Amino acid sequence: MRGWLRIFRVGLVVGWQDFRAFWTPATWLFGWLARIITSAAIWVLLGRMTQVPGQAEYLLVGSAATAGVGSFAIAAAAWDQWEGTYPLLVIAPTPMAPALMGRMFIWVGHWIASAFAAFAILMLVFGWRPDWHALLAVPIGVILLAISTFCLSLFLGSLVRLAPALRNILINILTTVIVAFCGVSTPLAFWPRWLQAIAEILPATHGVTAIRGMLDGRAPGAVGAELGLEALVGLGWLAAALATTEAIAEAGRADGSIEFS
Amino acid sequence: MSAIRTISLVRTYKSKDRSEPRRALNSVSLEVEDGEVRGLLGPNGAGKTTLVRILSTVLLPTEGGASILGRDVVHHARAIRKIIGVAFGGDKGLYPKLTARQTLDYWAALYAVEAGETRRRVPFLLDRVGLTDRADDRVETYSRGMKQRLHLARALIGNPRILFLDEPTIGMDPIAARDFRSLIKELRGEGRTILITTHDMAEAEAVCDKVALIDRGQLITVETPDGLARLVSRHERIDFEGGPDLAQQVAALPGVARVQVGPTGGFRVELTQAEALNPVLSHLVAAGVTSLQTSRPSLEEVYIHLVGDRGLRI
Repeated sequence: MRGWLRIFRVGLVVGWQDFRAFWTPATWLFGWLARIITSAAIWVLLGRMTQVPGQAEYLLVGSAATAGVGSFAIAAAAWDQWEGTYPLLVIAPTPMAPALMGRMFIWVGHWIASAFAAFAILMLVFGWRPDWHALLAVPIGVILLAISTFCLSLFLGSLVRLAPALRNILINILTTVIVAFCGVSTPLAFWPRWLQAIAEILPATHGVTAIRGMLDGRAPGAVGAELGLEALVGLGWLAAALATTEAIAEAGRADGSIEFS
Repeated sequence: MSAIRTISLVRTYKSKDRSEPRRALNSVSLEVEDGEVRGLLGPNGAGKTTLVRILSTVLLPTEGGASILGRDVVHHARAIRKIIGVAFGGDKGLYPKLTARQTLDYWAALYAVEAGETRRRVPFLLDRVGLTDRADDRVETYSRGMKQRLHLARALIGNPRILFLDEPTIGMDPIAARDFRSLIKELRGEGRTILITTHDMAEAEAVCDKVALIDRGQLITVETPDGLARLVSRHERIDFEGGPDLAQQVAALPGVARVQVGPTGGFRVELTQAEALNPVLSHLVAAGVTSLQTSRPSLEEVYIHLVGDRGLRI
């Protein structure tokens, strides 16, 4: 386990350097965050325009909790192939998964920071003041939601190694699916039962429900159950990701697709 | 026990246009002794890199077998990975945003080098490959030669018994290449077995105990650099100053392959057998030639003799 943590930590260093290559503090604040918050604010404004009580708050929580979630991590899974480090990771004597996870995990911090900033700014701008006790619990839901989305991104990232050119398409599909079907902007009940069943095993569905539950003052047991389900969904995707990462590497050794792209 | 062994090794790749699979390696059988430095020479597309990738467990063989210190590359890949180091040449295989020190720290973790040992080994390797002064600069700012040296340091981070170096001196300036050759000799002195793929004949002559020539996926021959030159010593050359009539006479002598205009304007005689050397020299001296010189082919010429001069064609 210590070995895994050490490899994860050095993977984080690679991820941090990726992140620094992408963003400066100024571009992150005024390029990324400004765009994400504007987009979330539009949802809240749409909620206000409906004049349905609670609609604006419903959309604020959904859009702030998932602000930026899913972005970049899947693409990061393909970068080792472009850099030619992927075959070297495959033939390292220790498992490569923690290194890949470390590199991608840096984007979880980016999602969490985006969500926290979105909550703070949107609440300030739209004058929503929920009970501060409830507000203190929100970070737990945001962090859990980000981590379970990361686990699904890991799984999709392993698939991206089969077709790296699809990485950006997959990111867009992931974010669209989360926003549309996981109760972020549209209540789950709106969708057909079979689609609801699929949404149950996607990240964000239970996380967003839990956060709304916290802010609405629902019983801690009900909120805890949703958080537990969110964690379970994440673990499921993590297990799938670990299995596919190894399987795809082995397939690449056999068919030659592991070689430098 | 051989350090590296392949038996009838075959590797094919599926063609993108669904035609016949392409054979990158065709029944290659090779043995490298423990502690040996073996050069793998061949033109582009000969199969050198594919062979190294199979031996380093990156690729699986299609047919045949290969083993490292008696361990099969298919069934004991995990055990093999602990005792090998691999440096694939070129710009690939490095994280451009990391520094050299961060790069070695990263791979030390992946090679399960203890933290304390990492703190000792990383500066030692940086010094060994001459990167100490640039250790904290990003790799993307390095020259090609510096990247090559970092590749080598990375390959050594796990203290491997067997080293695979794929085109290790590409992009190095002559001084760095000379230092690299000294380093290879040091590594051999430490008892490591090294397999180097290269195009550079001088490099093969300077550092390899034996050289394997490979072309179109097939092993052509394995020899010491001297032995390889002897292989074509029957093609030993005599350069002489003389007239065309004499050249015609010499061309008719037994054991003479051809006589053609030499590089300095005289004539060059190429022999088909070493035994023809003395009779031809006697003939030339008897004919009054006073300026003549014998020479053995360089390894480069041997290579071209055996592989054929295909120019840019693969």
